[in-house]
Amino acid sequence: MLAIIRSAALLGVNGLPVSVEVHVSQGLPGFTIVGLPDAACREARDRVRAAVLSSKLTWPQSRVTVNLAPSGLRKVGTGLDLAIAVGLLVASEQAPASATELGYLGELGLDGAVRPISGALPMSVAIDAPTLVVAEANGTEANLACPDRVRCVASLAELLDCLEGRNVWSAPPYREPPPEAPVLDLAEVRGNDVARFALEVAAAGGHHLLFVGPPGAGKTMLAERMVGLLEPLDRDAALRVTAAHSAAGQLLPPDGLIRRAPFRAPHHTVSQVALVGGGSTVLRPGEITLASDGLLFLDELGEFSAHALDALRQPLEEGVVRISRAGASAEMPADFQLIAAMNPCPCGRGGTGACRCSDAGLARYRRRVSGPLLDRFDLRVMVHPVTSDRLVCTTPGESTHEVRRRVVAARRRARDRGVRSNHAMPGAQLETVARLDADATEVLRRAVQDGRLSGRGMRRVHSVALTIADLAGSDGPIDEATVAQALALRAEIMVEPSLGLTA
Amino acid sequence: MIALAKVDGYGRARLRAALDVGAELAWQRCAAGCEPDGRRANDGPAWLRAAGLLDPDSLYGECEAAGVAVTLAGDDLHPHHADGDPSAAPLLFWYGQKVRRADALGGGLVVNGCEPPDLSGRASVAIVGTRRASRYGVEVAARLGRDLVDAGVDVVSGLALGIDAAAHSGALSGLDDGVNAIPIAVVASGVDVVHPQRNRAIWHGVAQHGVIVSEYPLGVRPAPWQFPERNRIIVAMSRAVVVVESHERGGSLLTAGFAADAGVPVLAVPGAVTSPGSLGTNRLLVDGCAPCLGAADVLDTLGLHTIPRGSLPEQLELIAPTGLEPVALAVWEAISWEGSDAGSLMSDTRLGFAAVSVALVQLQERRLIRAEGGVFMRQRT
Repeated sequence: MLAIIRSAALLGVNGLPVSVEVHVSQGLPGFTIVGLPDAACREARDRVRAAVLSSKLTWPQSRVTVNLAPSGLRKVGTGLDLAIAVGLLVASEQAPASATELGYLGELGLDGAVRPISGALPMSVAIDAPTLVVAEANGTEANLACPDRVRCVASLAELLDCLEGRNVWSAPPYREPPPEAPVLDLAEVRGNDVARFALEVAAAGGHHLLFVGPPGAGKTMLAERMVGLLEPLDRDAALRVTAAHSAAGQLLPPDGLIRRAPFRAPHHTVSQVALVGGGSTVLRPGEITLASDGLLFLDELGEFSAHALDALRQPLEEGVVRISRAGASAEMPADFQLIAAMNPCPCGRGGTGACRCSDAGLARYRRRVSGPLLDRFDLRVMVHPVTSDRLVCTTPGESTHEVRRRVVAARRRARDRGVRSNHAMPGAQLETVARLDADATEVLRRAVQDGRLSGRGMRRVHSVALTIADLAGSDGPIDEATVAQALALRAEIMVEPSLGLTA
Repeated sequence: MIALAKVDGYGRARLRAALDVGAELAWQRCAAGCEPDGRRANDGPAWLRAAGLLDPDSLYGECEAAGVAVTLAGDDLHPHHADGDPSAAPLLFWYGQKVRRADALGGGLVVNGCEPPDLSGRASVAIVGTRRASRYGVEVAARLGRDLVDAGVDVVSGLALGIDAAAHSGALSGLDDGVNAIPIAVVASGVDVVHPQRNRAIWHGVAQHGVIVSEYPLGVRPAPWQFPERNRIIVAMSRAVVVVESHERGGSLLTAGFAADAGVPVLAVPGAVTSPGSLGTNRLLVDGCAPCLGAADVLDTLGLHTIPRGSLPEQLELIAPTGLEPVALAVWEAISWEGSDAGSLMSDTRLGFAAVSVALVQLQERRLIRAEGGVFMRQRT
């Protein structure tokens, strides 16, 4: 007897539809799984056997062959347990044939309990079945992908009862979305007006931002407050983000949907694989995929391994990361906005008289944060520690709430142009949509001619100028002052190891 | 003598003793494992081995071929302040454009076919300072170097990073036809070993227009104890020493000490009391050194009143450029020596970000400032 059950496996952050074919026939008793299952998948044999027996069902004394089609792709994880069990029961005539019309996703415990798995959301999207059966804990998640088509079961026995009509299916529970978490307030940041402005511009235009300054200047404080300036995600983005987090096994909110832009801040000891994704057997999403549609904050940029930083360049350019391994390859989203903070030199006092760094150390530090990576930052700002008198006496700056209003308005103007953000606007459109007046064009032209700006730099400055104009609410051609501000926000961070003589 | 200098452990004191007894005799004694005065040496066996490997003739042939002149204490051309001056080195190697090749060996004083320049009648001033120089120190040292060379004074320094390199850099930039001064560098390695690598260009510049001097034979790499020794030679070759920037403790303060011992006047450049790089120099001023605000002060100390060709030595203060709008001028004046970023300029001038940005663009276009390391700095056009 042959039973074909629909299920899915995970590849990167996407689901892969898998057809579980269970064949029970005469012959010496045995159980084989084919179709390139990985170690966890192969262990399904023992789990399914124990679960079936614990549910007071019979284990067929025949030759059982399970094929996970498509057979040429590697299957990873334990989510196919339930499908295999159902297939076995149908093929050994312990479950009705109507069971093959549903899709199944879940791991089995030895007691017959149906356990939740990670990646339920993307896998649910991939299953091609009118109704889907999952573990209770995966219910709300799967419901996001297939609204009203999801049934939850707690155990194999319950599943059989429902299939045979002895019990009623339970739907996934409805959960309230959690209240909005309080955000950190920008008003707590004193001084550093230029840095605050840069934060606003970055939030409004999606530009990559770099803070440079000595330790304790407030770089981390500023970066953390960026999250509060961003709007909630729209439905599509929220689903993408939730799918990525689900695939990575991250905890999801009770109602299943992640509504805030993700903020990932990996420690500087992170490895290249943890940062961009990969792994030898499992293709696990990395920090950049989890930060997609959100923010990736790299604190202490100079302390990250050069290896890890180099791997960022391609995804920064393309917005996706392509991982290829011998067994499989996957393309995962990496559409993140990068914020970074760094010291000007290893001791933190920046190259000048008070600096205690040796020349070799300084050169090595500068080489690590390479030129091409620095060039990717559209906004590069110095952050200064605030002197004690300013800490006490200065009037507090604008609050997150006030700044956010401007940011949201600017973002709306960008969306009206048909792009996700000004940063993402293609060059051709930039030329037509963001016209520069004569003076502004001249400023840019001279900067390029003097060698202060490269071709790519010019486009980036143009893009930032557009965002500044959006924040000011001005229509019409971009003027000289706006372009000057955009130029000033893109400070030249690198220091020539020369004597500073220019005669 | 060169061979003796190459033997490990044969230091300055022994070399001097060797000179006293005569080089040939000292060499024979060394080859036999004895001190120059005949006593048995502790390192005797090592010396025997070393002596066996060294051939005095081929060593000075090597020097001759490389264009390196060698002088001994007591030679006419050997720099010293007084006879029997303890700071004079027993043996010096010279390399550079100013080392002349002599066709004839005269009087047994010149060891090989190259002769160093005759410095006895010339004015030379040493510019020394810390390796961890601030932008202020670098600018001042370079300016001093250039102005002194303009005035016909030789500039002596150590070719280390920071102030030394800046001084020679300035000196090199001030050289052109008709200028009589030369840059002189005293280094702590052999004259053929470029150290540090970063100063390669300056090293070659000094060699091309002046002379590089060392107490150590060819091929010797720089070692920490060789630096203070070379500072003595710097003093021996100068008629005045200017310390531009020094931290609380530094080699340049040692040099000032040597100068005081030798009776050479020391000048110090004052700096901001908040700057760690000026701590040493300001202390020198407190201890009674003459302040140096520019080349004019140095020339006064030397008793020279040469007006250089062209203009008067410039003040270190930059004159504000003409033709700037008030906003741009205000921003220009607010830029500090160390460089200022947009934020500091905004708070110093109380102008908005837009106004400051426009001013910065204008100043950059006129090449009055440049952007580096996150800040904007003034530059000479």
